[in-house]
Amino acid sequence: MNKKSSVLSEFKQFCIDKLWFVVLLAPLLIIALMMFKQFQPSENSRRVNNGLAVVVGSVEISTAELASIVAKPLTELIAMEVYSVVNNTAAIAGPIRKSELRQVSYNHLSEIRRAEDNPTRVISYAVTEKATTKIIREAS
Amino acid sequence: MCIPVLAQSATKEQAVKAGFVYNVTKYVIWPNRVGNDEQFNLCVYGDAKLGGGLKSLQGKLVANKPLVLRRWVKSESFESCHMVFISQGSTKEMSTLMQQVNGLPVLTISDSPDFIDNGGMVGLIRDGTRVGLEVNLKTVRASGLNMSAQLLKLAKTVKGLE
Repeated sequence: MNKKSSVLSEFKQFCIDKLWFVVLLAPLLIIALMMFKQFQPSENSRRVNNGLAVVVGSVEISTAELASIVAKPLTELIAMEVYSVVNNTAAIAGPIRKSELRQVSYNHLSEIRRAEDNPTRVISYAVTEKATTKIIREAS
Repeated sequence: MCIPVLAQSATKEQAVKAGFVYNVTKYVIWPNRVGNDEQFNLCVYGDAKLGGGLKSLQGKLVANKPLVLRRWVKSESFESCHMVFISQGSTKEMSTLMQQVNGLPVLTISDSPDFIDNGGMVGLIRDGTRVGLEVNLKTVRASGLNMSAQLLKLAKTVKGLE
């Protein structure tokens, strides 16, 4: 009995001694897990594979260009090429990571979800520090 | 409460869509309204990605009235708006928004997919590599607005045309 209580008391003391370690380690483990999850490619990115791709580059234009475009009449605006069509966007935008999806706003995420319901039209976003690239892939 | 829209930079797509928004005002006649009608209020609802483009419209003249850009918030009535731009991300609230605007002489415009099918008036759609227009004439007429036949000719789709 005494031996048992002694073991228990030793174990208790061990836990108390190592408590600081657990307190320090637990948050680090949680952070590490969260980071690991973020860097997993999302399901959405795997869906966008085939077909014609329309890329909407979001390179910012100058204020002068903006003013010039806005001043154009409707007929000219309708005729303006806004999106570029490419056969393969894999080189332009790689898989979207969850960490990137966190940087885009809710409407982007909702669009991706909506796209899942319609396999002929998939919209995804590739996000870098400087620009967001919207990729619309349609079944050819 | 209306909150001024903050300045943002714009992309070509945003600029073209902002151009569409402004140009559409040239083809619509609003009925005379009681109250503060010295300015043209373009209200923006939602997390408008066009923010930078729309910002450039501030101060432009619409029927000789300076255009004032406002960030519209839910608690506010649409009555002070002449036109409302609803951003793509507001799809969930769309039916509520359309109910709120129903019967008011307020032109609704959005680049949200299927906007005119959800009760919206003017939709900005992707037409191949270009931006196109679609119009729900039935809702336009129901709101008491007059839309020029010229605009309808330029639209890719016109719903409710009799």
